[in-house]
Amino acid sequence: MDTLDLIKRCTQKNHEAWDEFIERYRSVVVRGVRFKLNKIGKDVFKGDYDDIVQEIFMFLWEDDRISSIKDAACLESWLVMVSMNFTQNYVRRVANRTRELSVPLSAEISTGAKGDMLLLEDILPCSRNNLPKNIEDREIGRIISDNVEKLEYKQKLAFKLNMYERKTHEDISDIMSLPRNTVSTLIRRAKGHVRENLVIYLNENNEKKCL
Amino acid sequence: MNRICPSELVLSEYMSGMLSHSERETVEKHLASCDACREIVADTHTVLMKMRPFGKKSHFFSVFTGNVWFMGACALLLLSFFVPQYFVQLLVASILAALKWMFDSRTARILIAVYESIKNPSSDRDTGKDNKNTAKFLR
Repeated sequence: MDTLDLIKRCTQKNHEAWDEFIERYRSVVVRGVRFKLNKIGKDVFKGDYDDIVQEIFMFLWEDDRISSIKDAACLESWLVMVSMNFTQNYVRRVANRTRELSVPLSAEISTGAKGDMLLLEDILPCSRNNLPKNIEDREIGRIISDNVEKLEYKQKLAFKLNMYERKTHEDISDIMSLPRNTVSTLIRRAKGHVRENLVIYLNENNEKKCL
Repeated sequence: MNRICPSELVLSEYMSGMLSHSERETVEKHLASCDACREIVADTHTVLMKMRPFGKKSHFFSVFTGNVWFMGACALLLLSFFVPQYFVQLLVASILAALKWMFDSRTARILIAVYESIKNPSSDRDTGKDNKNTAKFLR
């Protein structure tokens, strides 16, 4: 059966069509859910795949959201997005319910030796140990971010996909529907612009230190 | 930052290349400034690529399909050694195929890039994977 026909029959609440829809697109939803759970790192929910997947299909059924699909080409990506967003909301919902299980940093932890107690914040590794370096890194980060925000929107998007989302040039060309060479040029120019401004800042900083 | 995020449907249409030029521009402007939407698009792309049997285009085969004239020139050159009575003709054909390959716009760009990189060896090379050190400053 054609995908659009299937969607049309699903919107008419045809049970057979829904069964086929679930059979055909279950793997897509499962992948979306699994990816999101792995990314969030919530091991607790890894056994809940089936529940979440079932809830997603129920959500699609009840709210009739599938009727918004006008072209079969975007169905899979839409399903992945919906399942990832749904998973995120599910995790947030369940996490809210179990919030009282979290331990505050001021909690006292027994060391086991003669009843000695330590604060949790003393045990956890802290970035405060390296404060000057941290401040400098943050300052450089701020300068880079400021310069990235000044870029032209296509350059900015390509740059952010490359640097923030760790996408290769080929992936970006696929997402933005641009030739790979164009993407490489956009990223190279963006990097050049950011680098230029960073070099100016670092030179100024070095001069100040020398003085 | 534009606080009104586009729906999942609009984002998936953007990814499928189904939006008009002006709509694409609007979505891209939003994606450039909205971390959440950009993350969704990037993650969706990752999941879809994993689902495809040949998710990423095979570089091995693209070398052959993208350089038909070069492959033809090599084949003709090889053939010229095996068919000595047509050696000159095959050699000329091989040279013509090689010239055609060289003047193909894509190859010409590559050759210019190679020439420039030889001329300026210090210039940076973007591989798309060299961002680990810089990325830590960006969050």
